Amino acid sequence: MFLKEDMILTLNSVKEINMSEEVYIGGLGAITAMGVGKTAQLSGLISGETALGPLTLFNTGHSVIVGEVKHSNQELAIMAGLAEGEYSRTTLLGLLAAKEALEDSGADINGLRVGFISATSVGGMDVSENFYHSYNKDNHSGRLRQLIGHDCGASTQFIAGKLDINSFVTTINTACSSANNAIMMGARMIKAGLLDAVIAGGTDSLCRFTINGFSSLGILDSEKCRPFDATRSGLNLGEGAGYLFLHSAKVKTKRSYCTIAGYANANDAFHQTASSADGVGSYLAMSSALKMSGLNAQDIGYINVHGTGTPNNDASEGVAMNRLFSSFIPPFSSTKGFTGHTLGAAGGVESLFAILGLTEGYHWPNLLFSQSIVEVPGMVPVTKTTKVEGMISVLTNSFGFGGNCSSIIYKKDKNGQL
Amino acid sequence: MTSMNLYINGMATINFSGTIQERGLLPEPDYKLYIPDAGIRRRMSRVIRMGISSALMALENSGGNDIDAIVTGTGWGCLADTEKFLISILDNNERLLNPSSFIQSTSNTIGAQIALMLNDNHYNNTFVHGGSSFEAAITDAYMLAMEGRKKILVGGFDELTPTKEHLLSRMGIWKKYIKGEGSTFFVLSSVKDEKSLGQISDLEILGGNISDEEIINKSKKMLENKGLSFCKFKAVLCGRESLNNYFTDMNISSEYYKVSCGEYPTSSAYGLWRGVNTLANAQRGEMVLVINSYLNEASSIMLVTK
Repeated sequence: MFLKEDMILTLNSVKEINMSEEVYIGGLGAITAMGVGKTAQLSGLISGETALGPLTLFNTGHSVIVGEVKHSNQELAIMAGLAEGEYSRTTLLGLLAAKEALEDSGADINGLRVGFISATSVGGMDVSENFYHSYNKDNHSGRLRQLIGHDCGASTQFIAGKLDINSFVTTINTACSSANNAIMMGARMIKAGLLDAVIAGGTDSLCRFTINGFSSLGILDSEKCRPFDATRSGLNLGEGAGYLFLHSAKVKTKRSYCTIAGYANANDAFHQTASSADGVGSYLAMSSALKMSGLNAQDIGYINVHGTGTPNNDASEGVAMNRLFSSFIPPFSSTKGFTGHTLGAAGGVESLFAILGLTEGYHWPNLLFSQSIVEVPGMVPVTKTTKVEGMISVLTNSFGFGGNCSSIIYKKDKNGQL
Repeated sequence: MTSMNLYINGMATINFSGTIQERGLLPEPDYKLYIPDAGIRRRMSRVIRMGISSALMALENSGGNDIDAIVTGTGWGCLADTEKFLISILDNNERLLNPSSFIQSTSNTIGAQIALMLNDNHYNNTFVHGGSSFEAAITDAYMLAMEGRKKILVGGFDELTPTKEHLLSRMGIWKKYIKGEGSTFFVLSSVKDEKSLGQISDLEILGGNISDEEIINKSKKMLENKGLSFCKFKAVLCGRESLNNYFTDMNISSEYYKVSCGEYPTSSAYGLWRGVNTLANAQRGEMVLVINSYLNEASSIMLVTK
C-alpha cells in the first residue's frame, strides 16, 4: 500500500499563509449506527429515533449499549467494492465514508493536489485483538498478515490508495478530538496553498479494547446515555466514519455546503482523562474559533456539543459554554444519543450533522433529556427535531483524552448554490 | 530561498540502537531530573519517559518553557501500554481491569503529558502516520510558525518493545535493518535568536517505494531550485545505507546515521538532530542534507542550514 506518486509534499511551495482564503465544504460522507451514507444520517436525525442498542458484533463479558453499524465486515467490504479478505472494520467504515465525500463533491481531481487527512484512535485494533489472542498463548502463532492494519496510519494509507489520492496523506490521533484536528489541518493546508482539496475526517470501529478501556474507567452507562441531563451516568460507545471534502475556490464542486469560518485547538492541561471544572480547554477552543470567524456569539445558530454523557465532560463543557455565551446560549444538543460516541470519528460525523443542520435548516434533538445539569442551572438543550430558518453558522465541539479540545465553526457560503 | 525558514532554537535526543538485551546493559538517562515523582515515573512506559524527558531537555536547551504549541509524531505509538491492557483483558477475562495502561495507550499521551507538566493550554496535536509521522509534525509546525506562533515544541518518538522486536523479527525486518528506538524534540520558531542552532530550509515528503536513483534525483532537484548542488554541502546524512555508498563514491562527506539510532518510524527526527549537530561549528550558510527512509514505507529529504 504505497502512494503512486513520488512527490507527496514540498514545504517550499508555501509562500505565505492567506488566512482570508476561503475553505469550502463541497462534499459529505458518513456511516454510523443510523445507516450508510449522508442521506441515512439526515433521515435518522429528522426521525429523532435513537440507533443505540445492545452489542452484537462480538462477544464480550460486558453488557453494554452501543451504536453499532448494522452490517458485517463482509457486507461492508462488498459495499466498498473490495475483494474478499480480512480488513479492519476501521478501514471499511472509513473507505465507505471517504469515498462518498469525494463522490458527493463531483469534483474532477485530475491535476489537483488532493490530500487525505484521517483520524482514528483504534486503527486496526479489532483485527490485532484476534492476532494477539493467538500470540499471547504461543508467540510463534498468529497470522502476521493480521498486523498489517494495526498502526493507525495503515487504514489511512489503504483508503488513500483506493481513492487515488496523490498528495499529502497523514493520520491524526488526539483521541476523541482527532477528526476535528484532521479537518483543521486540512483547512490550514489549503490556506497555506499546500493543497487544493482535502478529504478530512475520521473513522473508528467498536472493539473489545475500547469497550474494556472505557469500562475500566467506569464511564460507560449500561443504559442509553443522557447527555447534558442531571441524571447522566456515562457514555455509550459507537462506531462510524465521517469525512468532508474541503477545497479552495479554484476547485469546482457540484454544490457548496458551507465554508469553514473558524477553528481552534486548545489543551485543558488539567488531567490525562478528566476535564477541568472550569472547562478552560473547551472555553479556549470555542472562544478562539469564534474570534477567528469574526462572527458574533448570536450568529451561532446551533452548537453540536461534545456531550458524551459522562458527568465530568458535560459539566466542564456546560460551564465553558455558559462562560462564553453567558446571557444567550445558542440552541445546542449532543447527538451522541443517536450514534453513541464514535471516538476518533466523532469530529467528522458530528461536523456532518452540524452542516446538515445548517444547510437543511434543523436543530437536532438531544435525546433523553429531562432536567438541567446542576453545574449550570437552567441549561436546556434542544429536545425535539426543530425546523429553523436563517441560520448563519454552526459550531461543533470535540474533546478528548489528554485535554485535547477542538472546535470548528461552519458558515453558510455567501456565494453558495443553496 | 523564497519560503520562510524554520529556526531550530533548541533540541535534545534520547536514543538506543541495538537489541533490547543490549539496551538493558546501558545506563538509562537520569529521568528523575525531568519526572521527579517516583510513582508517576514508574507507571510510565519507556516511550512516555523518553518522550517527556527529551522534550523538557530540548526546552532547557532553548532557554525557556514558554511555548505556544506542542506537535508530536509517532509511528508505533504507546505500544507497551496497549499490549499491557490487551493482556489484562485476556488474562482477567474482561473483569476488574486497571485503567492506567488504557489511559496511557493513546498516541497523544506524550504530547498531553508535556502540556500537563508545563500547564500549557496552547495548540496540541499528534500525528500517527508510520514513517512520515515526524515529517507531518514538521509540516504542522511550519504552518503554525507562518500563522504567527513563536515557539513550537516538535518531537518524534518510538519505543522498541520486546513484542515489537519479536514480531518484526518474524517478519524478517532485522535481517536488513538495525534495531533501535528513540525520542527527539526540537524547539522551532520563525524567529531567530541567540540560541538558534540552524534552520530547516526545506522538507520534502516522498513515498516509500522509491529507488536510490529517484531519491537522489529528487534531492538534486530540490537543491537546483535553490541554486545549490551537493558539492557545497558539509555533509549528507543518510537514513538508508545504500545512499551512503553513493555519496561516498562521489567524495561527498556522508554518514549512515541508523548505526547510531536504528530503524524506527520517527528516526528521521534523530537524523535531523544529527544534521544540526554536524553544523555546530560550521560557518553561517553551511548546509547539510538529511535523507531518510523508513523500511519501504516512507522517505523524506530535509535541508538544514546553519
